[in-house]
Amino acid sequence: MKPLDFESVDKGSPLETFAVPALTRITLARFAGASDDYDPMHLDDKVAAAAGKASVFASSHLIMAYVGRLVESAFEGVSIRRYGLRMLKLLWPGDVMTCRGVVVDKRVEGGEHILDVDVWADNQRGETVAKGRVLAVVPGKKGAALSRTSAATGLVFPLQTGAKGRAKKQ
Amino acid sequence: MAMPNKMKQMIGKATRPTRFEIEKGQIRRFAAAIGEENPIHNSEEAATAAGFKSIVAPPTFGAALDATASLITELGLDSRSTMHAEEEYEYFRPLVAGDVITVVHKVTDAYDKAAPNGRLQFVVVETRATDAKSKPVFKGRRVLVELKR
Repeated sequence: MKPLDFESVDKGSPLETFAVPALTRITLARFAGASDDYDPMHLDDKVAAAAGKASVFASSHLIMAYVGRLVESAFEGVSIRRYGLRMLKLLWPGDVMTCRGVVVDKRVEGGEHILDVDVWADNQRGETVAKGRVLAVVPGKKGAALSRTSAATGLVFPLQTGAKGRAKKQ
Repeated sequence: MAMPNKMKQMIGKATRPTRFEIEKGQIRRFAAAIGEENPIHNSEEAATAAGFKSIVAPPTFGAALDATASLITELGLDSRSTMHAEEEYEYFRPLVAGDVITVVHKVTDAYDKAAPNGRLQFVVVETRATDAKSKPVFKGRRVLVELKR
């Protein structure tokens, strides 16, 4: 699926699904180090077991980061203004999470092209791991970049230019 | 069952402002940890070509920076049984390497609900991150939940 833009989407347009590689303890460790979060529930199986959990599991921030990748890669240039996610199930080592989204509204407000997107992620057992909503500002036209104001506001991922187009998603 | 007084007293409590220097290396490691290959998250060249001052942080980098473990302990919750039930963020501007941000957390609500095997204690924490010029960078709201058996 090609990246979406304001012109090509409508209410109900799905985002290209994004499959996250199976969670490993290495990823948990890398994420912990990169975010300076050493909560043992994500790192130490003995501590997790003592707390009644089957094993270590992903932090909500890692899940949010993965679902954030869905939105970042779905659009040709995007500024995320609001992003909320509700955690429903834990993500365990070995779990494969698939991130999904659908556009639920599109409008122009204050000169900006706004999309409301429902996002969610499920695991290989078909359980919903998390679900939420993103408010994104995108360029008005296919191939255009965000306006200067839009590109200076929010969490911004500009139009990716380059001969080979988008980097291949893992 | 009445909410423990300790929880009620938490409402309005704020953490001391904490400063974070946003570093290139940390952004790069964060992007690598989540498998994010967009070059604006690890190449100075790509980021500046795209109009940013430096390497750009991916979603939730700012929020993830401030480990909630210490916040949870400060609130008297048991970190082994406390989870994030939900989080939401509003982003005001891109976060790039070189930024220095100040983060403050404040408890805005606390309530409990019956659960099949105990009581669920909810704590709502609002977060504000500002830059060196005191301008807003992002703000967040998270709901922490602890199951008290």
